[in-house]
Amino acid sequence: MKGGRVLNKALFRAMFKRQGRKTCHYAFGLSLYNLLLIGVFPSLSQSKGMAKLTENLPKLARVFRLTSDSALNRFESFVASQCFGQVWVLVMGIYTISTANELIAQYVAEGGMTYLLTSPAGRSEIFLTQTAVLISGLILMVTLTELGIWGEAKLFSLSMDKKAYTSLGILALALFLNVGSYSLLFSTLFNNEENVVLSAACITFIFYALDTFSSLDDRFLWVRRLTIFGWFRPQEVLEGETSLLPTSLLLALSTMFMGLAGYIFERKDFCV
Amino acid sequence: MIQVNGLSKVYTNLRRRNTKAISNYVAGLKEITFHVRQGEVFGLLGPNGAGKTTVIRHLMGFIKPDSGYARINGLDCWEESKDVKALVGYLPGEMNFLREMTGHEFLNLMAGMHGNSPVFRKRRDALAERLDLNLKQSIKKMSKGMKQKLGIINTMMLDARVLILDEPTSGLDPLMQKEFIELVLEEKSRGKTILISSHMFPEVERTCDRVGIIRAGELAAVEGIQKLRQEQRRTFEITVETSEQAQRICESGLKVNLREADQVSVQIEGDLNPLLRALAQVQVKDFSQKMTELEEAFMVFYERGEGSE
Repeated sequence: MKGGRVLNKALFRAMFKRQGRKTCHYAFGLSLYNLLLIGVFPSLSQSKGMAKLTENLPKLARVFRLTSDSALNRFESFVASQCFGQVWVLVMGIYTISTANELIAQYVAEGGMTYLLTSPAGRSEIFLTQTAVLISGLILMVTLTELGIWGEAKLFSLSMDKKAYTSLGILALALFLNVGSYSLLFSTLFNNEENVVLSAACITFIFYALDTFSSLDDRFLWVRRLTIFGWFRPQEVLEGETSLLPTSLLLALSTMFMGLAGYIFERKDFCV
Repeated sequence: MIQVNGLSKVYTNLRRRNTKAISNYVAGLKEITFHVRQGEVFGLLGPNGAGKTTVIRHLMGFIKPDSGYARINGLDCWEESKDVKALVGYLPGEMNFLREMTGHEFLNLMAGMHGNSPVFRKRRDALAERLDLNLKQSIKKMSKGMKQKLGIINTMMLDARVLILDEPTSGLDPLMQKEFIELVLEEKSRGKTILISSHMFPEVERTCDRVGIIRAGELAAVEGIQKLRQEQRRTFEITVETSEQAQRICESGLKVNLREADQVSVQIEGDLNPLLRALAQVQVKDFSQKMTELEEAFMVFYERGEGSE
């Protein structure tokens, strides 16, 4: 009857309804933040002081994900450093880790997983459905962020390269899919929510810190290869330096983590 | 219909963290074997922590046995859990539903996950009316009893061939407990196979054909309800006017324990008349039966188990 099904429609609908609301709240918050940022761009781009600052403090500019020969007076550089900068990464990180935790570990810890497991859907179908909810949420977050930037750019009559923004969206999606995949792995590994959030947040923070550290000096550039954030260079993508390698590597890693998480979920003892 | 054979389980975290505890008592299950016939109601009786829920977790395919097997309708509950769950309606012991849903949304989700048969909706509405539950209410705002009702509706609406009910009446008021027992008897008359885990004797006594008594992860006995009743050993607590009268009961040839100067505990197996004759000679101030009949029988089996260790 339900033998070959990969996703459970009823479960997806119920879970997405719950997560969709949260996703829209996060995306709405980000859009408001971006609206404020893009709103100040026209005056900031004409500010001589700002241009001097980035010229005089190249290392600081790099920490803020700007290459030294670019400055905040270019819209692409500005969007890359501000709209896809620290705040966006932080919000996306919180969203991804909390969603991965809510979809598996929270249901196990609170006992709600019992009901999902009593259905003839099967563990792999439940896991794949929950994973699909996470992926859909991430797609929605990235899409709403990009749509927000596009709308705000239109509002302030700023031009943008749609193709480059699409490439950046795919890379951003791959990056947070990776964060989501190891968060899901922890979510299936631990029954305690605190352990899930703490482990996923620590790893994400270490990756981010390594990337920031690598930007401090050319001698530390090799460190960038050790972190998934090293593959995420929004400014390079927006300036047309598109390479499929980082996206492919991130997607391959995500598939590996998700496969492992699925295997654990399939074989695990659930004392629910 | 349900076969449990040599089922053993030791919980890994206990094995790793507390080796001393594992050498003192069995965490989980030890060689549990029983079967439940098609159309039979089987009670799994035992105190908290005895292993009832662990047996049920095996039947539901939530945990993998260390050895032995649990099967439903010939299907292995771990290896073929997907097919097993298509046959089973399960009521968990803990009512932890999915948050931020109304009763209605939750039941729709469960019906959808079970294949959305039209019969589900019909049964859901009939059960909600019978148990007097407003399904539009948010689960977060439901009391423990209301959640228990929602759990019962979820289990019964699926019209499954096998029902596994873990502590089904906990949280229900006496009226609803009675209603639930009637529901179980109706399902039994429709040929359903039912396994009830409980430590509440009246519901087991009224619904079950046979009872498995479980203690410290071991099955102490599996007996028919009739056999348990035949073994009935009743204990009476009697308070009399004076200590002399209590002494007179002690000398009457009955099995008597002197509790206090004027209070005795009398154990009777079978005929009550010798006790009534002894009581006719004294002034009785208070007279009470200590436990229900089945509870007494349960204690007999329980004590036997302890004695054999």
